[in-house]
Amino acid sequence: MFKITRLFEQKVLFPISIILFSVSGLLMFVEAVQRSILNRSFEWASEISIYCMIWSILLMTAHAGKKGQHIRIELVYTKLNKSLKRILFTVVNLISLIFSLILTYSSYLTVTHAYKTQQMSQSTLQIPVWILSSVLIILGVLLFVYYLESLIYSLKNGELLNTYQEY
Amino acid sequence: ACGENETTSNSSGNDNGGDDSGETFEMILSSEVPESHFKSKLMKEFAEKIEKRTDGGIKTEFFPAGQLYSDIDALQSIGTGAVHSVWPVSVQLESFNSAYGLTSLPFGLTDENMLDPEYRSNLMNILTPLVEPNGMEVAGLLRTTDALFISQNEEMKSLEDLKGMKIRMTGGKWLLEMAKQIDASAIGLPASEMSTALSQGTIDAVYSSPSGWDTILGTSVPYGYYVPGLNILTYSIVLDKEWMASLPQDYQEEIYKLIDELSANQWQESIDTDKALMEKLEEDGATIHTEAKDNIEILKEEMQPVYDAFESEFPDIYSQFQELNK
Amino acid sequence: MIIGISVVIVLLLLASGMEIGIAMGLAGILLLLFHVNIPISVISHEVLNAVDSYTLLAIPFFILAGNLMMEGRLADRLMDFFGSFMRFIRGGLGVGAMLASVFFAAISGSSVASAAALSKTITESLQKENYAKNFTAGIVAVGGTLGLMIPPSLTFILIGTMIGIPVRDLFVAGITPGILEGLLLIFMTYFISRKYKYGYKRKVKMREVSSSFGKSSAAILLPIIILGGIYLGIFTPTEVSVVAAIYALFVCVFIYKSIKLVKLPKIIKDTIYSTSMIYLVLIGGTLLSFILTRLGVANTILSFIQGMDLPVWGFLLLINVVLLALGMFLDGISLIVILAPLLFPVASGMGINPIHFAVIMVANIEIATITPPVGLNLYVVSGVSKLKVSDVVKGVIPFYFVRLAGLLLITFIPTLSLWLL
Ligand code: NA
Ligand code: NA
Repeated sequence: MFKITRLFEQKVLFPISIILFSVSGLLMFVEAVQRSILNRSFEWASEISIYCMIWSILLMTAHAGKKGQHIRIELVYTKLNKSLKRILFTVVNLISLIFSLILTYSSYLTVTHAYKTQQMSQSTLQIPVWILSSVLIILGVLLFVYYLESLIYSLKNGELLNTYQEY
Repeated sequence: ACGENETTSNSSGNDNGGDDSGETFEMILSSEVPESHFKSKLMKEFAEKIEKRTDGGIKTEFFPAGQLYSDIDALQSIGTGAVHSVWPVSVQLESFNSAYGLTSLPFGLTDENMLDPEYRSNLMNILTPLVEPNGMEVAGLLRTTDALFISQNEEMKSLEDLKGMKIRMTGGKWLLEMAKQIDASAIGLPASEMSTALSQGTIDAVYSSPSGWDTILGTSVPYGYYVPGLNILTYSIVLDKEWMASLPQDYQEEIYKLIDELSANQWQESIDTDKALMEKLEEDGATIHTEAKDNIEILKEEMQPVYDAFESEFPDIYSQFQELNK
Repeated sequence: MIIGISVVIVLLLLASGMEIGIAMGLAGILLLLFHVNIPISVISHEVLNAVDSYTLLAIPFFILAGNLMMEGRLADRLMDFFGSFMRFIRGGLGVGAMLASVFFAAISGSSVASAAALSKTITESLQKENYAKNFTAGIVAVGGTLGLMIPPSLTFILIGTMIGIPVRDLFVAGITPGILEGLLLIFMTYFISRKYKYGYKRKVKMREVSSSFGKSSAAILLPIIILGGIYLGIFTPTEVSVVAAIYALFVCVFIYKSIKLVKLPKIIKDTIYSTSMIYLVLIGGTLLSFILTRLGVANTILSFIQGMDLPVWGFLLLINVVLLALGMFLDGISLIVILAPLLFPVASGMGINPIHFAVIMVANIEIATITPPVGLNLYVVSGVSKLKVSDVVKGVIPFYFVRLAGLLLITFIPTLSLWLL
């Protein structure tokens, strides 16, 4: 099952994320150039740039975790023996899993609140806020899958799924 | 002076303390402007007075300076229980219902009308239903300023002179429509960037208040052009509707009464402050052209396309507003 | 009471080896659960709030620019250029390496990116001469930190976003302190190189200088674009970040041809990873500080410090000590995310210019990134140079002294930060 989600992240989410990242940057570049040279400005440009970037990054936050990109303080657990590590990592992954559950539930509340109260974005595009913020639910679910995989891995191997390797 | 420190230490919150009336209601207020800003001062005054008037039945906590939320964030959280009152610039409510832009139609709100308590309360009756579906209630409007155009390099004597200028404006669909009529390009920039952007020519003018001119720009930006009544900007006093309904009747009435008191005086004070500041700016060397009364009628006609656009989108609301203005 | 509980919870969670962002977020959630009147929905609202910012957009694009320059090996060209003339004094190449660090700091936004980009080229060129390995590693680790003070700087962007200070002003304020720190480091490098007779002296060959200048001129233009664009107000800092990335891409792909276009998705991918890391810490920290504010902890700390009735200098000294101590264990981003919302109101309350205070904070964070046991630059340099972390630390030790001297100057002479504004 985790193979499938990893594949999904690699083959589907990552290309989307890279495209959103590029759109965000190109739009900002066009905006910078046209404001400084042509004296013109799209009042909606920054909103689109910001949300493309938020989606781009949050879609990949769980995957970055699987790649060991998120920093943690290694000072304590490196000193432990294997069986203590197994216990510690199991606990750590379990509460991280709970975090992802709470986040998902909370996101569900926020998104439905935005939907019910018909909130629109600030620019004249007036994009519904519930659509923009629905990435929170996706983030919560992806984190849940990630910590579930980590939990099972640490139970089996007594190690972290990954350790922080590179910046 | 009533014990703010107690509020923070007594955090478990759901024990009712020693109050005899039974239930206490927590009221969270949030403001994005600093504690020293008149709006935050008023909110603080409101928070303190309402605690007293309800004998502690309403327990307030006020977070100024964006400590807790920006105003738009607070608005988006109204109805979740995280915050119960926020007093944002009215333009921000347009992102919940574009018809709220009624308050920023050119020459829409006038000082004369707004000083009349009956007019004010009738206006609230038009505004509140607009945001009711969003779980909000508008209990009053505060006067922010009667805005004017301020420029570093261009002396402006008429709306004609604004043609082609890049003008920093707070957003909102109807303000942008107005800019279109003037033939100026509206630029959205955070207030913190205003001064730098003006001096470096990124923008040609800002549409702002005498107080913004005095405190942020200073008289090194010398030219002002003022069309009385073109756009009286306001703050909306927003309450969480469901939370209000959960309060005992007498608490609700105290809240409305207090807001009425606070806003009645505020409107006149703001008129006086604007006037005094403009005089001060002129004394300090600024040149301000004020549009003549006769021309204003002509300008109103020029703005007709804005009203038409609003009317075609919200015919009912527009006719209610017309009716009220008669 | 709440303060005590929250400190213990945060420390326990951090020490557990949990991802730092999650640890802070969880601490916030735990505190929230104590308080029945705060709805659960604030959690996700704050998560979105943490990253919903125009200013913050500069972070991914400056990271992208840094990654492009690293991949395109612009640091090599800079090092060649400084190496071509610096050997006119003994120990000159070491000084040249420090100069290259200062220069690279003006194009890269993070200390780790700077250290990573410079590590290989500096290590290779210095070890061809007789510089000690520890010392070489020390130069890279310390030199990299300048990336945080000399604009562009991710830490300033983060502070500007969280506190609401114009990033342009913070960038401008960082210029002089950054150069001052650079000069102090250069002085120390020169002093040590002389003392241990590292390197050799050689006449400057003008042809070599001009040819290496030609080869590196497109790279040298980059800081001018960045600093000029910001200082003159042509672009907002966020726009500059994109312009820098696109310029770096153009130079590396079309002028130096050191990057093939097909590698771009991979470079963006790495940028997304690094940004994710920062965003997660930011999200957790925002959540924690929101709850602390909501529970009134921030105000309690404020009135506690005000109650101590410290003079301004005493307060600043205390802040430095606290930041240095926490900096041993926490990375710079977490330090800012946790402490900035608590400390800035106190500082402004005492009449300290917030821009000056931001510079003080960054100076401390620079030191934190090279302070064991948790110092990211130490790990990066140890990784690239294959030295043990403890050996890198040995190389860094002499530089601590000048860093502390620099910190004191920056702390007690506000003009250094503010005169250009
Ligand atoms: Na830098
Ligand atoms: Na450290």
